[in-house]
Amino acid sequence: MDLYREEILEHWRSPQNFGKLADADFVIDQINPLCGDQVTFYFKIEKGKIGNVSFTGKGCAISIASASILSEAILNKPVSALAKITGRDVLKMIGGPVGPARLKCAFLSLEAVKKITVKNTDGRSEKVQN
Amino acid sequence: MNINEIRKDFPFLQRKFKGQQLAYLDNASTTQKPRAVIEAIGDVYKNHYANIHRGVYDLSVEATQLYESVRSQSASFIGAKSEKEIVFTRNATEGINLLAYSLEAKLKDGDEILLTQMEHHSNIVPWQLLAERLKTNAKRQIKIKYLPIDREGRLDLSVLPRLLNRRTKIVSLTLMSNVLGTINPIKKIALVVRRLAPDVILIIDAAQAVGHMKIDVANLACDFLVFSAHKMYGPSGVGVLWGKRELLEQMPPFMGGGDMVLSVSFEKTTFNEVPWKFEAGTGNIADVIAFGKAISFIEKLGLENIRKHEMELTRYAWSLLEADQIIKLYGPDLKRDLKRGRTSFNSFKESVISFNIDNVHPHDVASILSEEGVAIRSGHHCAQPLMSVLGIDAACRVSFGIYNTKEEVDRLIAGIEKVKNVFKLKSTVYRPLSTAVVSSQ
Repeated sequence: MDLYREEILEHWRSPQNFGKLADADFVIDQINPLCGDQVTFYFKIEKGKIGNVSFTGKGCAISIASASILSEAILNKPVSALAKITGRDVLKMIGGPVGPARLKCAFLSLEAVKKITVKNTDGRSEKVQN
Repeated sequence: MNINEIRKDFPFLQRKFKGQQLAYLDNASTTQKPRAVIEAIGDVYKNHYANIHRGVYDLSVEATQLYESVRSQSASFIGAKSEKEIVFTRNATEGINLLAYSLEAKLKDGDEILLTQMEHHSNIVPWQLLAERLKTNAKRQIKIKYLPIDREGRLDLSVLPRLLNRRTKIVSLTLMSNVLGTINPIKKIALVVRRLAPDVILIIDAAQAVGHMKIDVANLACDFLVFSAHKMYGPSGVGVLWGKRELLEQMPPFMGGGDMVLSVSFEKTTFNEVPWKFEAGTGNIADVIAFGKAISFIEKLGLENIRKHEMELTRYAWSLLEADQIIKLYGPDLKRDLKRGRTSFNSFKESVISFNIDNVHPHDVASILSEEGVAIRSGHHCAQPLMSVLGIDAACRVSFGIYNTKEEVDRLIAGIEKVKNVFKLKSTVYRPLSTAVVSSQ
């Protein structure tokens, strides 16, 4: 198992969609209590789709690369599609298994993304703060 | 002391990881077990097992004697006056929780508890829970204060007098930091504490120190001391709470149930005498008996010899890590320690080194080292408040035990070189690599 494949290192070095989104509709914090890794995702919803997405955070290469790759994958996708993303999908996106000890790192961002649901994006008056 | 002979006593070293022996450098978390301890557990269940303190038949009497003999052994191991001062718990954490419950009545509205910035969560959370309970159930507000650390990761004793007063009822601190490796001058602290807070109860968390240095409760001048067996080559699930007998006698029980009572009616219960008053229900009989073998193992090797060996490894690893400019080390500076004339036995630091490599996350370091068959700990080490003081979220930690060797330290250093390669970090090592390949012993 080559955990530190070039794709992961590339996303770690220069994460995509990194930074705050000034006009975000939703801001979601997610923490890994085991290691204290933390990501904040910013979502802009447009016509039921992820119109824009970004994230900030601190963590290991696996969690930062997963956040970066996942943010690219969900851009312009319908909100209804987010609930269907599985852990297996994320592992596929980042190019393979990471071993049981690092699953939490790989899935940290998925947990944040899954908090955006069709239900809570319908009544968009309130922002979700984890 | 022949380390290769000692290594033969540890069956875990026969297992191969990635085709080689595991360089187990996470002893501050828990230690591996010698054969005598492992076999003792099986022996109890095969030959000596029955419930204790109950049966009048021979087997029960035998089990009781074996169990109670470890109480006496534990007492003499830490210099306690009597085995009646030894309460068996599950671990050090349970010991502190027991105290936080049973000392509740001692705290009046406005009283204070003093902890330190370097405490493990186990010596912070139970006190926060106590403060919350008192506030909700008894409308008593108590204050928790923290003694800060200085830049070198030692307790800043110049601040201590200002944090103490007549309202300070409990001072609870670690003998050795699980992150910084700092050994705290408990005796010195105790003198100041007793003078400025005369009603104080002084509690020592010895979880990290036990098995690495001699512990003598009389010399530490404390009232209570807790530790876990699993950090000193003993089984998991066994801990010791030592307390002064008169204090234990005054305290109400922590948990109620069988074995901790003298008589029970539908209305009222009279409790057993100490220490059994604090041991409700059937305890961890086999593991306590096996714990006795861990004490014998340590006493046979001698704590001075153990410390000498571990300090040698610590200094060796420290000097190699320190030479690398992209590695940041935390805790007392061993080189400066040596310059101050502090050698193995009065050093401020023991067997634990925490560090970070440039901006590589500790989990990534530990993952890559694991691929090389080197086990280190990464994360916040259950000391998040301390991490915030250090200005970091996580750190790598190596910690040594009696079976570790210089060759394993070399494998650690080689693994770190691998980390630097993977993350394409510029090597700024000032040490010639060949010095990292000094043979063991």
